[in-house]
Amino acid sequence: MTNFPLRCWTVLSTVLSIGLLFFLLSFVFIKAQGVISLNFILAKPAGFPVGSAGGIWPAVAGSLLVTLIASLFATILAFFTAVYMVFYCRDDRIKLVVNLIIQCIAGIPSIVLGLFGYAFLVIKLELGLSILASGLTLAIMIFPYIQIRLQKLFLETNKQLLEASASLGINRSYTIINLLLPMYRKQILSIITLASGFAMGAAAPVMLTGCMMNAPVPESLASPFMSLPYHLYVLIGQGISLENAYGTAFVLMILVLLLNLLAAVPTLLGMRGKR
Amino acid sequence: MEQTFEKLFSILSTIFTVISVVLLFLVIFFITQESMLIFQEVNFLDFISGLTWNPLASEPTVGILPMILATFYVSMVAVLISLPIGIGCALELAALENERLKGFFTSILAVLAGIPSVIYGFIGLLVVVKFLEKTFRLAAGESILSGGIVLAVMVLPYIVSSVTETMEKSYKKYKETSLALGVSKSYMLRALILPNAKGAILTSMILAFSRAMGETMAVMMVMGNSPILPKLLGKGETISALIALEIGTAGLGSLHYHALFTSGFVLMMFLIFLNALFYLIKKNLTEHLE
Repeated sequence: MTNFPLRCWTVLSTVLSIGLLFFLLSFVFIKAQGVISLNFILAKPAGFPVGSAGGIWPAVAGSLLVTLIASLFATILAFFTAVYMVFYCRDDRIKLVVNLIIQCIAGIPSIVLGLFGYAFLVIKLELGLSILASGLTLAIMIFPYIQIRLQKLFLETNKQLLEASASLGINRSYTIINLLLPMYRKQILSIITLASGFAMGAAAPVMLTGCMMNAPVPESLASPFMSLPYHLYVLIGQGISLENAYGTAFVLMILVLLLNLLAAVPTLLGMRGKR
Repeated sequence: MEQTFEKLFSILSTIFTVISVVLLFLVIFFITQESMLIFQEVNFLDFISGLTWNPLASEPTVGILPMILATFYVSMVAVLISLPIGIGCALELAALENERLKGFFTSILAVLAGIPSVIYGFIGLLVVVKFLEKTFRLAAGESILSGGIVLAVMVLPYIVSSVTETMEKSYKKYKETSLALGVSKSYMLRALILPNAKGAILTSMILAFSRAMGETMAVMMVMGNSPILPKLLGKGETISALIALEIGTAGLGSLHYHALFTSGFVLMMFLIFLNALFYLIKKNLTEHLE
């Protein structure tokens, strides 16, 4: 008899969890209908206070650029760190220390990373409030995510494959570039796109390191910029315009969903290939 | 030629690893260094147990106890709300035989985890806060409870995925035996899978708690942000919200500025501690299983 309440509980929880996403999506999509137009996406913010009229183009461009910078830095650093840890490092103590410090950073909240970005990158290194400082801060934020997953991927590689490659007298670098990279192309791409999604949605680190309420599309790495999540926060937090907030939320959500979809495509294709 | 490339590649990966580690080390070092300066003026115990936050007064006081309590309170509410739903969902997913449906559910939860926190805050403000205002007839719905509800939604995917992982393993392990004994699936879930997942539930709680504690934007938008002792239906301000709201106006090198860094340091220490706890318990559990 106690089975029935259990089933009710599990089914209800599942419906609730899955339904949440559809609720969030439909909520934003329905309310944003009247606001979204090509003009809204491609125009500069206008009106007084700024943002009450006009569009969000600088925020779209700023978000895309800062995400690109962050992903680029984080990927290069994370890839080589993972390669070093798996294929070159022979000292277990070094491995332990590096793993420990990466795990530590993975647990640090984004706002504290923002503090670091502000005090160290913006002020001490004199990068100023800029898209470069924000990009680097976001890179530190997503670095552990990428590195931990890449390292796991490399560690799980079939040992025989690596041994066969080594016994043929092939260099490690050649094996990594010509065997592992093509083999894991899909997984690596999906790890990077998911991490980019996190970087794009983060407002706390960028609002301390270079994000502005109103700025043009950045011209150089040293210019301040606008970002979608921060723009949304300002529009709603200061009660500037609810309509434009819906529009901004819609665009941000679409971009993040696109990145998620992009990450899922290779795995979906891969699954079909197996059958 | 190939030998030189190999050498170059190995040197390159060493250099990049050193850069990464130095950068990560600098984060911890720099936050610690900037926050230690305040203790020339304020006692550490006074700082974390002080009840008033007024760094700009002529006789400045910096106490962050209300923020620490609010951070813990709101995270606890979030985990308490999220846990029963998360466990229920994990039970259902672990026992789901339809692989395609399971894949679909899992990717939905992954998307849920990827939605930016500002969007959660935005919708929380329009839905949760409004709802609380109506139901409890509050003047302002921004409260610890609304923060807890929004955070509960945000940590749900983490709870589900980490509990499902363990439950799936034990479901696969005992499926044949249970079937052979003629035990119903529901009974098996209730009497075997659920009690077996106790450890996983504990680790998922710690994970969710640490996620909730570090969250900034969403809680900041729905909690009202006043540095007072938290009550469930009253306003509160988390440590992360305090930093995000005030660092822009704090003068470089002032007491206010260092006090904010020290708040960040305290938050960082809590989270590093929680993380360590998480790994210790998880390691213990996996060794226990094998």
